[in-house]
Amino acid sequence: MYGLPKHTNKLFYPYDVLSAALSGDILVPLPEYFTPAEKAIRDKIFAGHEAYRAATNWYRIFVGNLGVPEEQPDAKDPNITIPVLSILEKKGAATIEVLEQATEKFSKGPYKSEHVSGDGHWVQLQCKDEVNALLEAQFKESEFEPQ
Amino acid sequence: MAHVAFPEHAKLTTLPCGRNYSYVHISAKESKQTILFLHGFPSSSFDWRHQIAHFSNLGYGILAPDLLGYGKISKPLEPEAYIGKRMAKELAELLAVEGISKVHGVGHDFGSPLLGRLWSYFSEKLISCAFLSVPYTPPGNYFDIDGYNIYSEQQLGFAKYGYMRFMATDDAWKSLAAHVSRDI
Repeated sequence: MYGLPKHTNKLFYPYDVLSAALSGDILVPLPEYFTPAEKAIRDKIFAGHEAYRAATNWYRIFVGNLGVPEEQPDAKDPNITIPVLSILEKKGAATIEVLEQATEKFSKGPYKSEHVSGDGHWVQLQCKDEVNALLEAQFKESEFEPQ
Repeated sequence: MAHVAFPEHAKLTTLPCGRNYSYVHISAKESKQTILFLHGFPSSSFDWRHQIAHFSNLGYGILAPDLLGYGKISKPLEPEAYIGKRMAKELAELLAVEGISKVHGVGHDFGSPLLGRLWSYFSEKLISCAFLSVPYTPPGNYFDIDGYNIYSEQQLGFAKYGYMRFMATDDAWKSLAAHVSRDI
C-alpha cells in the first residue's frame, strides 16, 4: 500500500488482486522513501489482530454511501472560498484527469494545483521536500489569522 | 500512532462527545498559525513525520490526530460513527480542547474528504485547505464506485477503485492483520 504505481496498479487497485496479494504474501521491495526503521514503527502502530478492523469502516461508509442521508439535508454551499492547494503525484498510468480537476471545480478563492516529481500515492513521504515547500508557500500566502 | 512515533509531543484526550483521541500537538510560536494534518488509510499521525519536523522547526503549531478507528483512540465498530460530518464535529471539539481557533487544514487520502467536511460544517475553523493525492469532495453526494471503476477501466485499462469493495468486508481487516508486516 505504500508502494509505487508499478506495484499498486497491478497488486492493489484492480478487482480481486489485493485479497490475492495479501493471502499469497506477495512482497514488493520497500520504497526508498520508507526506511526499515520507519517500517518497524509502522508495524508496531498496526500490531494486533484487530488493528485494521475499525479503520476499514472508513471504506464501509464511503462505498456504502452511509453518510449521505445524514449529510445531505444541511449540506451547505459546496464551494470553498478560502485558499486551496491541490498536491498531486506525477501524472502516470493511474491518473484520472477528471478527478485531478475535481478540487478546482469547487474552489472559488485562490487556487493552485501542483504535481510533485514522484508518481506514488504517498506524496508527503516520497516527495517530502517538494510537499513541504508547496505547503509552506501556501501558508505564507494565505490570510493571517491569529489564534 | 502519536505516542509511538512522537512520544514527546503525544497527547490523549477525551472529547466532550466522549471519544478518545490521541494526537501530536506542538504549540505555535510567536505569530505562527497551527496546521491540522489529517491522514488517510492505512495510516496515522506517523505518516506526517516529515511535515511535523519541518513545520515545527519553522515555528508552526502542529495538530496531527490519529483519526477515528486508529491507534490508541476510540475505535467504534459501528460504521455510522465514521460519517464525515460526525468526525468533523469531533475535530472541531479537539480544536476547542486545545484552544485553537483556526488552522491550516492538510488532508491526504481519506483525510481529504474529512477536511472537506470540516470546511462544510466548520468553515470558521479553517484558514486554508490543502488536498494531497485525493480531491475535495463535498458532502451529501453519492459516490458511484461502480461507475468510477467502469470509467477507470475505460481510461486506464484497470479498475482503480476495484479494491474498495474488498476493503469494506470483514475479510479485509482480517487479511490485513494476518499479513501486517507484509502489506506495506
